[in-house]
Formats: sequence, structure tokens, C-alpha cells
Amino acid sequence: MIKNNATKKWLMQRLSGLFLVPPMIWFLLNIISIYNKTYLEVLIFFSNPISIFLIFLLLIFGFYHLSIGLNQIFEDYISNEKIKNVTNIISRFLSIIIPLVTLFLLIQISL
Amino acid sequence: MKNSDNPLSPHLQIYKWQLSSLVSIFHRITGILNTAGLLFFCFWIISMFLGENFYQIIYTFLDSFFGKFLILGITWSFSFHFLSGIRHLVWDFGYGYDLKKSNIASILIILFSFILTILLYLIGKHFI
Repeated sequence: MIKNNATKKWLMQRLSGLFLVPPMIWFLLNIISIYNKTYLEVLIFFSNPISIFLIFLLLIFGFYHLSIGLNQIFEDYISNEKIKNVTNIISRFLSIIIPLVTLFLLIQISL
Repeated sequence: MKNSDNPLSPHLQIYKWQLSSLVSIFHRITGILNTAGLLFFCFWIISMFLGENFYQIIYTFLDSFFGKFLILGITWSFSFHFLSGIRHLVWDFGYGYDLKKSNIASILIILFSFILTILLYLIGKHFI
């Protein structure tokens, strides 16, 4: 098993990026098809269990992947250690909370 | 240990532009755009939860020219990040580092990001 934290992050960024591709393509195709449809039509799409499962994958891998990416950008462009650490903590917190809230509400919609 | 003397990445304003740096920075920019896109999708789902009246506001926006522009923009941003990401994986396996290959790959990434956008849009509009 990989012990080094940076190496682990490097690997997880690649893996989450790969896992992200199928649900992302699926989601984009569907969004293109329904983005200007009425409430009921969109509701039918979001209530489908397959939709919920794939959106679940999309949000989990997506927010995990973007959290690592944002972290690297902060690492490169914020010189102040204190501001960098606070920014990292906030962005990590949000990239856990936002997908969880969205998924919870998505399940509420479908019920 | 005091870290304030650590070197930072070269800031964009003082960097000489080449194809490789253009694609490299656009990998990051599209990464941030994809983040914004994903946040918008979350907002969209939440608006469904808030009810038909609230959804109507987003619907009015999405049904306009700006809505189409936004959807196409997110599709392009994903396409670019996806293709550039594939090259990152190729790099990780140790290939594609010499200048000529790198420039050809950069041009292909830019070109195919637009082709993939059009393809995804046409498939989404007509076949799903």
C-alpha cells in the first residue's frame, strides 16, 4: 500500500478522473436533452433510480476530484500559509457538504 | 520551519506563451469551469426540490440564449478537460514528452474539444 500522502493523492486524482468520465458523459448528454424542458419532464428524469445512481457517482467522484484539483491550485498560487490552510479547509468542507445535501434533496424529490 | 521563501509557480502575466503552456493553463481553467458547472447542476437539482415556482426562474434562464451558451460552455469545458486529462495519463505512463509530439497533441486537444462538444450536443439533442 502507498504510504506517501502526496503519491496517494496523485493516484486518487487520476482514478477519480477516470471513474468520472462515464457518469459525466451520460449526465451531459441528458442535460443537453432536457435543460429547457418543463418541470414535470425534468422531474421524471431525476426520479429515475438509474439517474439517481449515476448522479450519485457523478457527485461523489466529481467533488472528490475537484477538491484535489482546487487544493493543488491553492498550493501553487497562494503564498500565505495561513490563508492557504484556511482556504483548503473551507473548500474541502464544501466539497463534502454540497454533494451530500444535493443527493439528500435528490432522493427527497424522487420519493 | 519558515515557509515564506518557498518559490511559487510562475504567474501567468510573466510567462511566455507557447502551445504547451496554453493547454496546460486551460486544463486548470476548464477544471475550475467544470467545478462551477457541477455547482450549477447541484443548484438545478436543489431548485427542483424547492418547487415548480422556483424551478421556473432557472427554466426561464436556461430556455434563453444564455442558457444554451451555458450548456454548450460546460460541454466544451468538460470536453477540453477530458482530452487534456487523457494526455496527462499518457504522460504518467512516460510517453509524449518530446516537443513535436507535445505540440501535435496540443493542437489535437484544442481541435477535438470543439468536435466533441458538437458531437455531444447533437447526440443529446437528437438521440436521447
